[in-house]
Amino acid sequence: MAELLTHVLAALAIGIILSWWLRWVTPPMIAAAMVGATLPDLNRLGIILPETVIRSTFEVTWGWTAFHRLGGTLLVVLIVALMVPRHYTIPVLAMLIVGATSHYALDILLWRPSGLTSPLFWPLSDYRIPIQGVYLSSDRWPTGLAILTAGIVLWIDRRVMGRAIDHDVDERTP
Amino acid sequence: MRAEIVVRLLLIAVLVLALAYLFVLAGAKEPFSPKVEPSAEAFAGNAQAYIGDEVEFTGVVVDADSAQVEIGSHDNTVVITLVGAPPLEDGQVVTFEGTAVDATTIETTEDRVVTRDAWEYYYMYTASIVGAILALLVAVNYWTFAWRQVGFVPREQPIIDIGSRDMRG
Repeated sequence: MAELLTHVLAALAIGIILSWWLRWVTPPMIAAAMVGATLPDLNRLGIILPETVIRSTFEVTWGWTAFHRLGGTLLVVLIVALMVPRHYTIPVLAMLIVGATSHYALDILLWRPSGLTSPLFWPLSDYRIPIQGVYLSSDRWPTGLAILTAGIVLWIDRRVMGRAIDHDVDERTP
Repeated sequence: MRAEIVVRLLLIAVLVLALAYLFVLAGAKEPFSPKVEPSAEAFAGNAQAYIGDEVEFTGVVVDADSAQVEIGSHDNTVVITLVGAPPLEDGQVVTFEGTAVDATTIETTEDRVVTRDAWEYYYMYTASIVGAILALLVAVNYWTFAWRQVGFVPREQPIIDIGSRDMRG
């Protein structure tokens, strides 16, 4: 995976860009996209609570990997979207999906020695996408690019789109 | 509103159970695995079963001169000899794909190996922690928990107002 800062900044940039066209994409919805971008990496819970501990304690097979697969991500996104009242559920769900999708889009570009991704569509399929990755999760340039992109988008949002909104408001004010 | 809350909570409970089932399934091997198999831990426990197979692992170089790499985690590790790798350095983290020649030897080629210094892993985890904190702070800035509705709702005003965008859309 790319490190989480890159994922979160990418979701921030995407959310802001969407807000230029969709009025319902407000700052809280942009925040939802950023949260969505973190959800696949909940598999890192294994660092705090190893699978071996759960297996030996409850005598069940256990794999946190499910978080970083299509099936697990879909369930988590639905759970989080249900944590808001009904009239927010659909837009929050949409933004969580935007964030999670951006996470997978970036992870697909990770270099792997086999030239194949992990079976990301599990449990629906064990297909592994053949792709020549372009970066390692420990590379620094993706983070730099994400910071730069988020910065440019924020600048455009404040200086250009902010003025466009003020202009519209002025036109409507008698 | 009470009915909506009850329905939402029930749905959450059902989805959490479904998620737990996925975790159990993900830990099993059949009929298909969510991981690239075998895992390093599985190889460490029964390397004989994977002789002749293509394997992909990440490990730490414990003896660069003899290309020895330790793979696995916790109490389930094994030291293998990585034949065909580029020059290694002690302490490097190495990710590779190769063929298991025997229980402690894996053959690879230089184009299927990538090495990273230990500090690069520290950077990766630090950047991830920063990213997680950023997402959490932004979420807390714009969302609050409404007890009457038993759910998160957007704040009327953010804790820190960083712009003049309309919160209502």
